[in-house]
Amino acid sequence: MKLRLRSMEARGGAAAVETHRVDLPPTATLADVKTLLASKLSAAQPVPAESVRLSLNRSEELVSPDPAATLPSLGLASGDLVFFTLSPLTALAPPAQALSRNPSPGSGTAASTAEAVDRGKGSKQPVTGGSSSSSQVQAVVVNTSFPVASGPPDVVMEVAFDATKGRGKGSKQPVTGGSSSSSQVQAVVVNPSFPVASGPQDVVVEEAFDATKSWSSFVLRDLKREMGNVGGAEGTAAGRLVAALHAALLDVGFLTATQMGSHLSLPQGWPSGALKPLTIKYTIPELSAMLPVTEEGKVVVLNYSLMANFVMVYWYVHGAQTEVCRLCLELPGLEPLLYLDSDQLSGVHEKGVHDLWRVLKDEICLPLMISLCQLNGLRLPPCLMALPADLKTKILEFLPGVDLAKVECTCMEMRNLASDDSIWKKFVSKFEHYGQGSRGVSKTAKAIFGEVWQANKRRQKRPNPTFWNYGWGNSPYSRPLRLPLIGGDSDRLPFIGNPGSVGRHFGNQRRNISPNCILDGHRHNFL
Amino acid sequence: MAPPATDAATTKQEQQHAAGGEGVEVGGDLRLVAECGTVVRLSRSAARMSTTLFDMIEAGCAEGGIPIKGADVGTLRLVAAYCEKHAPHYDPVASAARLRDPFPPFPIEFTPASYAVKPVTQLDPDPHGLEAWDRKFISDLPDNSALFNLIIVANLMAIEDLVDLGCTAVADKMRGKTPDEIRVALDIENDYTPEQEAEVRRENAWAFED
Repeated sequence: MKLRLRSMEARGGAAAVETHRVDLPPTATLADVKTLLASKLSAAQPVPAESVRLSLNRSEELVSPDPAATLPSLGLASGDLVFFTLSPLTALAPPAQALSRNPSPGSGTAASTAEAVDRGKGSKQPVTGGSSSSSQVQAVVVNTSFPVASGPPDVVMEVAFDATKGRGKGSKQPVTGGSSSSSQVQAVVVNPSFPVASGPQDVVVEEAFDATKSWSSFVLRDLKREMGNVGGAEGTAAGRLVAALHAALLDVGFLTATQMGSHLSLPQGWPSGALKPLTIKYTIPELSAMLPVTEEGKVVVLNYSLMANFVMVYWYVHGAQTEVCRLCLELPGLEPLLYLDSDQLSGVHEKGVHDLWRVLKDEICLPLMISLCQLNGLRLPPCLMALPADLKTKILEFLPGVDLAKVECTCMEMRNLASDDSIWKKFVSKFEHYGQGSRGVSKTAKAIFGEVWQANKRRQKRPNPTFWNYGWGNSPYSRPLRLPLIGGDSDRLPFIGNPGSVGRHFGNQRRNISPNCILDGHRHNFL
Repeated sequence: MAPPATDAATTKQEQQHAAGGEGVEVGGDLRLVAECGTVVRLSRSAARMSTTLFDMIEAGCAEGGIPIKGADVGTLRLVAAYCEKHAPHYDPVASAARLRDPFPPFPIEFTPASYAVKPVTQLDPDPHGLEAWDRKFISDLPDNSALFNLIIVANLMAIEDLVDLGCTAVADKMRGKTPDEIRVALDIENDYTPEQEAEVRRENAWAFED
């Protein structure tokens, strides 16, 4: 099979980058590739084969724990492009077995935690066999532990976090941080000696289940790492909460503004002794260039203050007109979640962590990012307003009428989208003829809906007069159709004081019959 | 979707040129390349759920890596998981005809009246467990941005079922809330002047009568 080997060092025009085309037998291993490459590069100076590192996405190294693993088993197909470099790359994971053998504190336990979680989940699946790595990079043979952390996760995650995080805008550097799933971290974890799944179909089903699980495990791991960074095992709960929020902000794409980067350094002994709130500033990479000049509208400021059992977080965009928002987090409830060093992650705890993450992200991080982007005219992060108009219309189509009217009151764009009559037509299709009736003026479907809704509400609110309602045609069961009728015989047959026409009525205002004028019960046809 | 098609075509040409005209796997898995370069594999049957990918397979330009512009890896994986799960039970005709009729847009469950003649065995409303899986899928998404990313990418890849699922989830977040609550929940900025706001409220006063 033929491979293309390209140097990772230079970017720019492909012509400037050396690409070696090699043809290897299918039984070749990674070591063969490396030796071949080393011999090719040894023209100038001798290059040892071991220092050649291969990678497929220019950020993680392609390793195979089994030295005899053939290239196809690693997922390399003919025609693949493989990058090489001589400088050490961030090394990738030893496989799961190695991890379970040396459980290193913190990161290792995180991995085995995730592993344990997924093993537990995996066993519930009716399909046995390998689980979900098949959607990963070049992993044809799969591994049971889906989100296996890399050996030194701190190193890799440091790389991951320091680079620009993609937040739906895509990342611009070749070495990227990936998204919240940090999926590149476990890009190539192959274990050829592991029993292969019973069939591609089964593998695929397993992976379908675990994809969402993996994302949440990454969230978990991010949180743990941040909290571990801040205080070690003895960090206070408040400090760990700050770290958790920091992780969430990093995930959305913020970076700390004080020293540019992703590192959070709390002042020593903050929660215990300090009386003044802790202030941390964040910004996004696109604006960081303008930072030294002006901070107006470019920096997000978060103030944390601790009072008794609560951590109050205030946040605002510096210099902008937005109001200061705050969130109050109760520490005692969150404490078990913040100290997640145990290996077992019970269902309750997991749910608690996910809820905390969701709250932090949805309440604080996303609105901040949105307001910052709006103030600076940048592309919005994924949110409702960032969707194209046809998708927004589609969402509005799923709403019932009342909620549609309420959504109209939220913002001008929503009003424009909701005033499109076609959304309302589906509710009033029964009353199409109404608009062309006695009035001769066609109303918008929305207006019709509004009136009918109002009428129904009023009817429901009106008390049911059971006492004076029994007379000719006045019993509840002979009530004609309440809704305004056009045509038919309702204007020709004698008016039997039907309560719908008594008093104010929508369309048929031809006659005003006061209830007192039903002369001794006889029906009269008033012209 | 012109850009992914042309990109895939050029990639395919490049590959063919590199491989010396050797055929790359036919009938194998598709490789979707996210923005950051990571590859997500998708089997052919699952790729049929996406109209774009289906057209690309038919046109024969689905070999090599298919770059999906604007998708990050996590979202691609979720989309791939959804497609793989639904692929065996996917019926393109039913999907195309299902919700696109204007009325009603939401599924109506009819429970027959008590005096109606009922079959002895009720039809299973969820024969393959797909709806339960879908609900769990949506509720397991970490946060709002993941949901919107999912909708955007599914729209890009033209997977109508997933777009419907996502839009229904967003609509559920809007349901039963006052306008202020909707603004908070979905980060909508209030760009009404006070007069405009009063006017809109008056217009829609019938909705606020409770």
